[in-house]
Amino acid sequence: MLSIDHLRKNYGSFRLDCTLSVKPGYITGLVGQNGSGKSTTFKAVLGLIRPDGGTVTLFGKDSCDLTVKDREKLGVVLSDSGFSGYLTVRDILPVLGSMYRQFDRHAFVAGCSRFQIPLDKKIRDFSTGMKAKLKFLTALNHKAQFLILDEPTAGLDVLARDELLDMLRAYIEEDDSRSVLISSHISADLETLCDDFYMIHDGHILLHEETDVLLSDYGILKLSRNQYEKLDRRYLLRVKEENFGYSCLTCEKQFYAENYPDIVIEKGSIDDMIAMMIKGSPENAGAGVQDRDVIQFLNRK
Amino acid sequence: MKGLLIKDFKLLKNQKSLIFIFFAVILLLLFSTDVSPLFAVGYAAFIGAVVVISTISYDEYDNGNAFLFTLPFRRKDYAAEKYIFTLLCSGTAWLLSTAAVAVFEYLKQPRMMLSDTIFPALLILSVFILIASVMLPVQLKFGQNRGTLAVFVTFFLIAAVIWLTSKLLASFGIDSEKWFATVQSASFGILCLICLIAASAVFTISFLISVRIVEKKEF
Repeated sequence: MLSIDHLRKNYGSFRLDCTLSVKPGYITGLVGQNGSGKSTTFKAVLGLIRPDGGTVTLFGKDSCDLTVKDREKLGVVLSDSGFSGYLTVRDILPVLGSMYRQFDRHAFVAGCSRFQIPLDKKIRDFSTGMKAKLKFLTALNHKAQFLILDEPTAGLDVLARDELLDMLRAYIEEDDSRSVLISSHISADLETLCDDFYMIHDGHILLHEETDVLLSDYGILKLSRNQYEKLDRRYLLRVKEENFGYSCLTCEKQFYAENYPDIVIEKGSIDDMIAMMIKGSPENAGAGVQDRDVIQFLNRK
Repeated sequence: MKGLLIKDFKLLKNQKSLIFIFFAVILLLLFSTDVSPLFAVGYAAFIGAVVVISTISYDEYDNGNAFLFTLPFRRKDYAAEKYIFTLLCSGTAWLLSTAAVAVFEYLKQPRMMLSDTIFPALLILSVFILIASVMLPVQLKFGQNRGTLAVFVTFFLIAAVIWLTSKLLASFGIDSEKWFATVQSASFGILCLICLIAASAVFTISFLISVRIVEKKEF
């Protein structure tokens, strides 16, 4: 569906060099801190910025060669942009109707009613949550084959987030060839949604893993200094010094559970893993695992 | 393209107060004894251009362009739509105001020739087309914040070039004002037609420049 190969974009001292792919039928998460390069990657895929290098292939074509019909197959949510605030929802109905041949006006209006989005109020007067819901409805109501969702749940409360994510799941289940590339800084949202994850930091992909593997094989070891000294460090991705000793991110928690029954192993959320990948140091990890994250990534390409 | 036009007409619809003021000022100008009723035609065309420029600003409002340009249309279509919208808005405003002036003048002086209204109105239309030809690419290039300043700078530069050209011609012994007076006296109608054709050519060049600007723009 989407393949990005060494997409490069430079903004001052920021350097993006991103490689990732989204398979048909997959929901792929892109997680990372603010300013890590998520939105820049999305904008390059959508042709909103010109890359300094690399290639972006979408629907089997270079993204620069996408036709109007190809673009109809995209559903987009951008974190910092939407329809002009001077329009009302009733105003945008005929706009969407004439741009998307498969626009489902009935479902869109029903969605607005469900989310209590007023049809005749100017969008600039909407709350952050209302704007987020409107963007979501806009992306989901023209039978798009590929959804590109940049922080779609930003500004929403927990209930509204769950509701939107349920809608997204239902949308994907309707047609298993549909794919999604979604980013969020609330990665807990994505744990139950995504098939695989890319972790991006400072413009570079640090890790790519299937969600099942991430949740079953990855863990955080809590070690005293003594335990750390005696530990086989081959499967440590990151090590971080703590008051009590060390926290270590591993991709083989079963190995440590079997061989070191005394140590504390936390399952770790995606957020914990991101924190470890960013704040932890690979230098203290064993020689055989320093490049494990990179190897994981390359193996899956 | 159709979707973009609908969007701009919806934005226009939301400026009801502007439209109300527009008609009020037209009426005021028609009945004013201090200015020529033809001033209403120039005013109408100018307001038409302002409306189009405002839709560019509304598109940019709150970084709206980034999302807008993910919708299924070509970037070329966006530029084309702004030019078509300009012609539709200002053309309609020009047509209505010219008709209003012609009727008003006829009621005042039934013996007055229609060409006395049409030809100056065509000249005003040509000037408006030239103004729009400058404003559109400048606004598309520099956007809401820097666009207004850029438009002023551009018009200042154009005025400077015209002034310098007339001075240069004068230094070669050619009096440009006399030359214009000669052309005008020969046939005002032909002069208006030439101006309209020249303005249309500039408008086309302006469109091609705008397409390049929009195609290179990043959001």
